[in-house]
Order: sequence, then structure tokens, then C-alpha cells
Amino acid sequence: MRKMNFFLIMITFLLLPNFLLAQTVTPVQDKANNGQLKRMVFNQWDDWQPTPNTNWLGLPKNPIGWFYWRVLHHAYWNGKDKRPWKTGGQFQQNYLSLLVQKNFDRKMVDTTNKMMETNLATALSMTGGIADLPYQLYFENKFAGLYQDVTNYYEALQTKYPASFNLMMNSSNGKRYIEFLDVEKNRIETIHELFVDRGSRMVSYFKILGELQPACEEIKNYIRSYMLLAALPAPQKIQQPSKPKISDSTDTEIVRDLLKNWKSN
Amino acid sequence: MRKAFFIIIVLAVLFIKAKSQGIVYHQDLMQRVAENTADKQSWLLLYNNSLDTIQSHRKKVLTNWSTIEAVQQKIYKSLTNVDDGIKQSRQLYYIALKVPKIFENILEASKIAIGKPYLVVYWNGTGQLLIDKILSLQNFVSDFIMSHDNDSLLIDQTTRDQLLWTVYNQVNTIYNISNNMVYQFRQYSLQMAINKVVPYQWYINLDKGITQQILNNAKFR
Repeated sequence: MRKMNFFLIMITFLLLPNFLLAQTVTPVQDKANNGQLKRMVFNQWDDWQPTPNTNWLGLPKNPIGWFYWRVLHHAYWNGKDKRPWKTGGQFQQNYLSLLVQKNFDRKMVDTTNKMMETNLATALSMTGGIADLPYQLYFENKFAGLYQDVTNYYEALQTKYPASFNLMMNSSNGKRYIEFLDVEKNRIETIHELFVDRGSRMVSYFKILGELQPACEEIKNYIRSYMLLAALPAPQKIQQPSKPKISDSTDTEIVRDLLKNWKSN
Repeated sequence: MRKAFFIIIVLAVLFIKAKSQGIVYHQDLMQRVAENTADKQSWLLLYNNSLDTIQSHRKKVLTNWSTIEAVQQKIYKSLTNVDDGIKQSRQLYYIALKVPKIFENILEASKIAIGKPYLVVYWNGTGQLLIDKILSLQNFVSDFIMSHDNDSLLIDQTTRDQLLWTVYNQVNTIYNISNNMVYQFRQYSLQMAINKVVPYQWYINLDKGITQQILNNAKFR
């Protein structure tokens, strides 16, 4: 009998762990917490738990809830809806102003982009050197032609009549013309490299051209006159011109002689 | 014995409810938190995207403004400062060369005038005028045409060039006048001065003219 009892006890002990739970999971409903979470973001503002409401007799349905909300946190319970992410709430207002800002900034980008393009185009048109298109297209050849023409005259005089060339170069006019050509060439080069308005640059080119063209003709004529002078025969080879036979004995004879030859109109 | 057995049975029944750990699971909490997080994150994502776009716009605006400012600064500098090309121009070189020569010529003319007192009055008039003119031109070149970092004086480079060209021509003219003055002073004699005062030269010129006419009309054989 004793053995039997002992056996039963042992069996019972051995069965006990079968009913022991190492861990239990209990689903619960924390309505107050749930309501608070709703209020914290966007869901719902007025889910007050435990309820502060009263029944038809005006008595609190839940005295704790009634006391907690209506007495302890009255201002919060009775206050405005403060959900930051609610429709039309603080966040959405900020976001709306952000969208307005974004739109405004996009317009700013468009405006400044156009302004930048205009400015770059202006800068490009004002840049000299390679970017000086009127010069490349027209003025370069025009000026080069004028200078080449004059240079040809100088070279021709120098080659054919070196003495006359030296004489001309040392004359005051010769020096003046050389200086003029030097200054004008330098002006053209300077204006070509300047950072100025394209229109102003072109006006300057035209002014220089207007000065240079007649001056070059003048210089060429000047050189040509030296060529003609140099081409004349030597003074000793020039025959003595026949002098008019005017008597030079007395003033009376001179006057008589003149009157004899007088051609009346 | 029975008593002990009974106690054991009671304990065993009590142990059935025993547990080492209990987890209370708030069903709505996770759902609410997930909803809140999803809502906030979606809005924040939108917000972030908008901020990114604004930042990108601002960067573009900044780049554009930087370019505009650089161009405007360059234009402004070109208006307030004389260009290096004009600073090193041949016009300026020749002006610098001729101005001392003008002073030399005026000095030379004054030396001649000392020897010929009747010329002093001319020297006083012309010489002083040339000196004043050349000094004012010098000031005009240095203060106006070659002005540097002068915010109140905005001049186009081509205008500077044109002004320099005008000054260059004026200096040339003054140089020629001064040269001519020296030459004339050397040639000018007392007799010429008297002739200028007593106008009998007019009669001489008249006679010359008549004679020349006769000679022009003479029929030579």
C-alpha cells in the first residue's frame, strides 16, 4: 500500500511540468493609450478613455475618467484639436507653404536662368578676340587690305628707289604717316581685344575705317609723288628751257616789249 | 499519509497556474503605432522631397546669380577701370614722347625770344597758352581717360579710346604749333616786326600782283 501511494505521488509530480507554462501571451486592450496615440498623430482627437461622459442623469459614467479628464486635465480635454498631422493641421500648413515656396523657387530658377542666358550672351557679344565676329567677318580683311596696299607702295619705293625711300622716311610727313599707321594699327588691335559692347566696337571700327581710308590714299599719293620725282631724269640731263626773249637793257624797253606781246582779251 | 498526499495534490493543482513569464500584448498599440508611423513617414517623405527640390532650385538660383554677378562685375570693372590695352597703347606712347618735346620747344622759343625782345609778347601769348593746354590735356588723360577704380566715373572702353585719340591729335597739333613757333621765332626779324606794324607790305603785294598778271597775259614768242 505504501509503495502504491509513493508511486501515485511520483506520477503526480512527473505530470506537473506538463501543466507549467514558461511564458504566456495575453492580448489586452489599453483604450486610454489607444486614444492618446490617436491624438498624437492624425487619427482622432476626442477618443477620451476612460470616458468622461455622463449618463442621462448627468452622473459620470466612469467617475475616474470623468475626474481625470474633466477635472485634472480639463484644459486639454476642453481645448482645441492639436493633432499635428490632422487634415489642415500644422504640418499640412507647413507643407502647403513649402509647396508655395517650391513653386516660387522654380519661378526664380526660370527667371534667373533667363537672366543668366542674357548675361552670358551679353558677355559673349562684348568679348573681343576670337569672339569678335564683325571683325572676323568684315573688318579684319578690310583693314588688312588697306595696310597691305600701303605696304606695297612702301616696298615698291624701297625696292626701286632706296635713296628716295630713305629721304621720304626721314621727312616730317613720312614720319607722321608711319606714326599714324602705327597708332591706327594699334588702335584696331586694342579695340579688337577690348571687353565692350559689340555696337560700340563696330562704331569704333567704322570711325577708324573712315579715317584710315582717306589717309591711306593720301599716303599712297605721297609715296607716288616720291616715285615720280625719283623717276625724273638727272638735273644735268634736263635741257635748258628756252627763255622768253625779253630785253633787259632798260625798264622802258622791258615794258615796251611786254606791251608788244600783250594779248588783249 | 493521506494528509500529505492531499497537500501534494493541492500544490500540484496550484502549480498548474504557475508561469515563469507573462507577456501582455496590446493589440491596438502596434496597429496604431504602425499607422502613425506610416502617416508621418509618408508626409515627411513628401516634405523631404519638397525640401530637396527647393534645395536644388536654390543651388541653381545661386549658380545663376553667381554667373550673372560675375558678368555684371566684369562689365562694371570694364566701365570703372581702363583696359590694359589702352594703358599700353601707342597713342599714349607718342603722347608721352611728344609732351616733353613740346616743353622743350616752348623753352627753346623763350630763349630765342630773350634775344629778340619784340618776340616776348608773342611768346607770352602763345607759349603760355600751349603750356596751359598741354597741362590740362595731361590732367584729362590721367584723371579721366586713365581713371581706375573710380565708381563715380563709368566710361566705355571705346569712349576712352576715342577720347585718347582726340587728345593724341590735339597733342600732335600743339607739338606742330610749338615746332612752328621755334621755326618762326628763328626766322622772325626786327624788319618783319616793323613790317607788321607799318602796313606797306600791302602795296608791295599789290604791285607784285599787277606784275604777275602782266606776265601771265604776256604772249611770248
